Amino acid sequence: MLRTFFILFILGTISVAVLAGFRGTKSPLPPLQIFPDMKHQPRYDPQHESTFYSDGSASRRPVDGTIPLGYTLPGFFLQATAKNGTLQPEGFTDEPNYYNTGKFGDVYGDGFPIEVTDALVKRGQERFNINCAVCHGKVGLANGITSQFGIAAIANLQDDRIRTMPDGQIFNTITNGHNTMGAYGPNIAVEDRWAIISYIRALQKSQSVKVAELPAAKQKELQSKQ
Amino acid sequence: MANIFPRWSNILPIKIVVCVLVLGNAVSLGMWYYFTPKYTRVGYQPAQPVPFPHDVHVGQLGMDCRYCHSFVEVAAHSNIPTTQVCMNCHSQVQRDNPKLAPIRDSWATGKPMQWVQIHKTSDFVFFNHSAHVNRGVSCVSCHGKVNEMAVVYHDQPHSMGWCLDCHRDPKNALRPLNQITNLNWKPEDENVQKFVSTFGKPPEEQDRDFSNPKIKLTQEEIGATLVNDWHINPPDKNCAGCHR
Repeated sequence: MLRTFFILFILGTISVAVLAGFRGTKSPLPPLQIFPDMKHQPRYDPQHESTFYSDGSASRRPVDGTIPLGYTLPGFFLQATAKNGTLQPEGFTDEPNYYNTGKFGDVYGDGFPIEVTDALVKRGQERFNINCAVCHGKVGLANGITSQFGIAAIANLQDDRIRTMPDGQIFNTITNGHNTMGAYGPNIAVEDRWAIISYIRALQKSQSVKVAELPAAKQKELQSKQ
Repeated sequence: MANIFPRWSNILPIKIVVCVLVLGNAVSLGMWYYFTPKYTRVGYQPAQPVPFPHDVHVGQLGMDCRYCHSFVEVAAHSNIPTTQVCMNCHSQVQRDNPKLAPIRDSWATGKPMQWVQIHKTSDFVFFNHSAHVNRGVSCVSCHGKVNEMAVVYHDQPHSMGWCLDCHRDPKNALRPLNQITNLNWKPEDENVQKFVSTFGKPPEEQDRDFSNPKIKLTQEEIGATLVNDWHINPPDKNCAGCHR
């Protein structure tokens, strides 16, 4: 009798192992929830599905023609500058001023509405390498990785056209896109867009600087190499 | 008087005890092995409406995680990119690829893509991505080497015990902030002089001389320094830190 039990036991163990597999086995089946507890509460999580709205999305868009008043995108950089007491009160799209649109009325403005600091340019470098370098390349020479995969007409940021373009127009291009370039406004906070422009200007400077303009130490370094 | 119980019944109680013990142990072992997220969640690999290959986009093309998951640093929820983000490139790259048809449909109709969520936190857990990535916890600690996954799967158990392992001893998961999205980062890659001048020396090696650039820092040293410098103190006994 005990023998029968052990035979059945071993068969049972093997069949469980065969049916259930091992830890970490890849499976398209959703995770088993043995005790659901309160893991699923009747609320909308970000980017989740809704059966209430006809388009099936719980996230709603702003009603046409409205501007979300005073909505601030809480950028990390904004928090960092807040420590020094220089937090910009401007929000995401709270006012159609130069800071938020790059325009004065219908005319593109030039110049920076926020102070250009070392930290801003460094922040711009980071954001440029994340969002822009994919196409425009790390130096802006239109040789990013996508240029090898069939994206045509990438703007060379070292061109005279971009060098002489007003800052406000670059801001507008980042925000709304231009020709084949998509709009990056939804993905990049306003202050980061200005940071990116400051870094683009730094890149342009880096490719056209005259030896006499370099700091004395760098000039010496250059002479020693020649 | 004849025997009421036959002879074999003398050892029946022992046999029953043996069977119950064996069965009981097997059931406990089975529950330990199968009834935890290490089995139920790890390896979950659903088919997505478009088979987005992370290994191509991140591993080969070198795109940063934050190109698509653009708000991971500022929001609790790490966003799945909008159709527009896909179309930034795929309006031109592989524009006729039939696998991308759902993206083009979504772009044309405005209906959102229905991606399958893989990593689900229970609704009573308030995990905040920004709190972690701004304090040195890399994507790879919780999501595994996504840059090598052709199809993303659930790599870590994401159980409460697993969270607490790190909350009680965070030094094994911390790294400098500029390496957060570098999933191939290794502690020995870190430039020792730059690290020490920025974050200070490891708290237990204050007297050591780190001026030799050949010194390799270990994860323990880097983590302990960052815990010290950033005053990392994750909730490990306070339930309300994560459960609200």
